[in-house]
Amino acid sequence: MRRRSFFWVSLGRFAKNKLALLGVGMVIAFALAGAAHPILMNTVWDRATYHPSFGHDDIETEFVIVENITDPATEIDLMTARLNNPFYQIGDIHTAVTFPPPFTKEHILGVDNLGRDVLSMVLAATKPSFIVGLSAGISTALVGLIFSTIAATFRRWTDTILSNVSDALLVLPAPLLMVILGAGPFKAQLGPVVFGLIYGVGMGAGAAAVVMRSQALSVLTKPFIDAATVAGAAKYQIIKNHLLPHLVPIAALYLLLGVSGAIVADGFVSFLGFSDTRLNWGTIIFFALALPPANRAGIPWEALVAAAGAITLFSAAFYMIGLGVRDVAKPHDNRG
Amino acid sequence: MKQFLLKRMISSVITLLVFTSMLFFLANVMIPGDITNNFMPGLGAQRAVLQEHYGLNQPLWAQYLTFMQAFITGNLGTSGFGQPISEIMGQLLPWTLLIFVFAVGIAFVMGHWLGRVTGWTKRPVLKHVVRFTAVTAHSTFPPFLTFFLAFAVSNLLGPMRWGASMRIEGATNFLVSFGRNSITSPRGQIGTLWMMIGTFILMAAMVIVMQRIVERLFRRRIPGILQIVVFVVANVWVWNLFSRRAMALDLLALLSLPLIAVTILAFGEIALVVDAAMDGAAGEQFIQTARAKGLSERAVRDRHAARVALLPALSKFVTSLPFVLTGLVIVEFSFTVPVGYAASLRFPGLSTMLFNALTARDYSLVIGGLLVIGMISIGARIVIDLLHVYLDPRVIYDEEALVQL
Repeated sequence: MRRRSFFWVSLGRFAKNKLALLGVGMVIAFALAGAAHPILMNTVWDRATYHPSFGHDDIETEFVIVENITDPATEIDLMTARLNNPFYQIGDIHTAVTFPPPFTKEHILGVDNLGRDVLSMVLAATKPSFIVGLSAGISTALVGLIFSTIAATFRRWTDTILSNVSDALLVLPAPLLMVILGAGPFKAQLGPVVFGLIYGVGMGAGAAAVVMRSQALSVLTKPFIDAATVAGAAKYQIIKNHLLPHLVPIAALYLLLGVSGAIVADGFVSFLGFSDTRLNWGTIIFFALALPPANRAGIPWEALVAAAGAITLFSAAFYMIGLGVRDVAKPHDNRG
Repeated sequence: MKQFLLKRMISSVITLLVFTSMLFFLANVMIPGDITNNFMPGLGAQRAVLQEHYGLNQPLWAQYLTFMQAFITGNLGTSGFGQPISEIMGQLLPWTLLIFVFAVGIAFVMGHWLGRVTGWTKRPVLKHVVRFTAVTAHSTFPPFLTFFLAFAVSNLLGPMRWGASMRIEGATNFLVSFGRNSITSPRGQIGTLWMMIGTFILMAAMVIVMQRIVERLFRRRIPGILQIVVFVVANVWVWNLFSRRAMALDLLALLSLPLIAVTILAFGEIALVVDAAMDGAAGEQFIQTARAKGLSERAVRDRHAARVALLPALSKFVTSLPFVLTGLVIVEFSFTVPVGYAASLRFPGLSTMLFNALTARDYSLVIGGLLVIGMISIGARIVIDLLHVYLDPRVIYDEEALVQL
């Protein structure tokens, strides 16, 4: 029987983890949702109502003015009504602007405190989230690979310097770093790509490099490295043929963890209102909580739950794929 | 062992120095401007005088040298508004440290138990549900969690019970409008907090030692529930001994929300790591041996497999604890964001100070706050490393095993 290649063995090991497959499915669903938004905007949804930033929708509801309210949906008491018009009497009709309710055909997830459609906002924020996540993840993996490879190959003072920098960066985790930067005057420049890149450098040189360096060092003490050296392999050949294949799965794991963390960090920085000009899930929560509720009883749960759920599920999806990758990356016997 | 400890200490000090330098340059280079930017623009001459007073007109390297010199001698300087930073930190540190120690302790016990159960069970549905819950809890969006908790408490439990205000010792600028009905006198709060942190750690150690003794002598385990009960009773008993019980319980009620939130954010990752390690241990030969000896399935799980699963959980902790600490900072601050719907809760932790200082560009205070957070993180790492060495002495010779995937 022919031996299956490393790729197929890894794929099989990955697919054994059902949660990882669920994660892949969720990421695909998010990608489809992000792709659906421009299509919906161009076909079904008209810009005036459904635009994620400028859209607005409201309905005019007629309230009968009564003394004691029995049905709050159609009645209003005199005192409240007279705040609008002091000449109101019992039995008059007061017309007020309210927001359309959720779970209707027009607004599946309702509208937020400004009358913007929540579903449209959540879908529109998917694309920037992918950009933040992927730029953060890729830079985490690359920086981690470069740091750990250099530290493990050259040892001595290079290793000392790099591992100390990594340890120090581990103490200042990337999400905290982003919040500090987001509070500064450069917040306008913190677009999705830049945000992701800085997050990735912080996480890659910190947590990822610490773990990958220790893995690289343990790989370099294995007998096959000595065998390669005796056989006359150059340093770069050892790195290319023996070290990197062991580090790439871990880098892939940190790519996914980087995506997962960057989304939450991005949401938090936006939630603080530091980057309120950008559309993303954190901003939706920021607006839902920060703006006073006009003509609305209670809390805009639709906007809150939809946006927070999107962040959590998006982040969780990448984390779950990461769990599958960790099954592949963990040291194991290669009998598959 | 002594050599190992010395080595860890030295490397921690170096890490701290590198971290401090990094903070200094981060604060000064990445975020331009200084505290005088807060004052009226156009005050040309006065601004120059102020800058000279604070030493801000010197070149960056000179400021750096002054800063590091002061730092090494243990002087953190004063904040832009004249208060010594070490004094501010002394008032705020116990609050954050208490949440950190309690939440990490609870999360570790919870996560380890969950991971043990799911890693061992043969029922796939239970396994996947718990794993999914753990991942979701780990990546919950903290501001939503805090808002939800605050909303639930203030609406479900009623304002009568939770609306009383509590005055905070020393820090007049923090108003906490949350707590139990009784209004505690603010005197002695900091001391009580330190006492609570101390008893928490000591009693946890006591329970572990007690368990080992019972295991040696009677060859049987104390049930987990009994351990927890003994732990709680012992804590309250000691608080009573110092006649600080009422205040301690009030403080615990006050800090219950951030505690719950941080625990939710922290337990998932531990559960996943232990779960993976249990999965790995299930196929090992010593498990078969234990089964062949006729041990009960529980004994095999708890005494044989879970012991092995403890080590990877610890080595994973090294890289994930700083993130738990960040989560704590975010949670603490999220509670203070005024949201209009629920009462704005203000906790006197480090992060409130940190964000206020950030917006005021009070960099000496920002650096001080981050430094304290960094010190907690470094201290926690030393503790984990020592624990690891105690559990598995081989790592003294193979330090790479201290950090793992």
